[in-house]
Amino acid sequence: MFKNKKLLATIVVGGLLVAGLIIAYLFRPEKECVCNEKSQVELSASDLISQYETDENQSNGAFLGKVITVSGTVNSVKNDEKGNAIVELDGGSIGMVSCTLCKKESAKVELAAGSNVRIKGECVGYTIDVVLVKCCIE
Amino acid sequence: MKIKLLFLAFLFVLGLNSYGAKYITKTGYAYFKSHTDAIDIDGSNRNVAAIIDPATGEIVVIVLIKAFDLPLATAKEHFNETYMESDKFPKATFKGKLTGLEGKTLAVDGEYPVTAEGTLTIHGKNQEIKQKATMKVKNGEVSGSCKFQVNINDYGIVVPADVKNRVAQVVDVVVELSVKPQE
Repeated sequence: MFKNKKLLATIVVGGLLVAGLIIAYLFRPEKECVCNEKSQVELSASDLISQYETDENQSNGAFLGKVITVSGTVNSVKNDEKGNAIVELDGGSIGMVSCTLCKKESAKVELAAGSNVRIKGECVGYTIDVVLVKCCIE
Repeated sequence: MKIKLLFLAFLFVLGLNSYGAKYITKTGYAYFKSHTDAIDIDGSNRNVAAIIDPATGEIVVIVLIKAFDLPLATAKEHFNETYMESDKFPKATFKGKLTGLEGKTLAVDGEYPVTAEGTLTIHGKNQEIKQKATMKVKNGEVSGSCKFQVNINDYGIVVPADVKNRVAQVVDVVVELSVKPQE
């Protein structure tokens, strides 16, 4: 009897733990920053823009959805409506690399136009600019 | 000078090749909401690019699918991988005309009711749409907004049978654009 109770308790506790882990996995919040993720590619802003302008499909294959680090000169810094800083890096063309910093990085950003910077972010594609989100300053 | 020539070339590629100021944003807003009895799923995107030529009414809107923020990581994975297939179809676009805007310079404060008519491309499928929208000019700032519905069947978006009750067939969409003139 005692043995059965112990077994039952183990099953119940184990079941609750597994259910808790499944719920925690399913309801985990979307990551806000890529600061702790390893960069898969490092390149200059002008190289990134040049590659996208030459062949968007091939560039998407290389960069889309990946965490990349881009170095370049700051063209401008502005804030979006959520208060996240958007740093635009010159790409030597009409297009720039637009980097939306995550909230904790936005709070401490002190960048001036003309300064050189390295920014890590997730590449989400190309519009007029190549767009990086969830960015952190390296 | 080189940049200006490149910009003109870029507009030409988009089909916006008339003279005069074009209005541009790179930080427009798009929002969608799927409502079912089981669950509401919504996402927002603040990296929408748009170019409007007020002289001709031509408009191009580009929405990057991976730029949508969804609150839960699992929902975002399903949105990108199962429904939108964003590696294969990274953009949604609208190319068309704003009728009711022709000949206006957007220099005078006021509200301009317009109709957006053109091709909406989502998930690699094109649909001709016609939708009422509003452009506003206040203190020189130009903004526009449009609310519409998208039937996901029209765009070949397939929902697996086991989650059919959790994803709406008709999704509400809002697009808001604050554009600035660029010569």
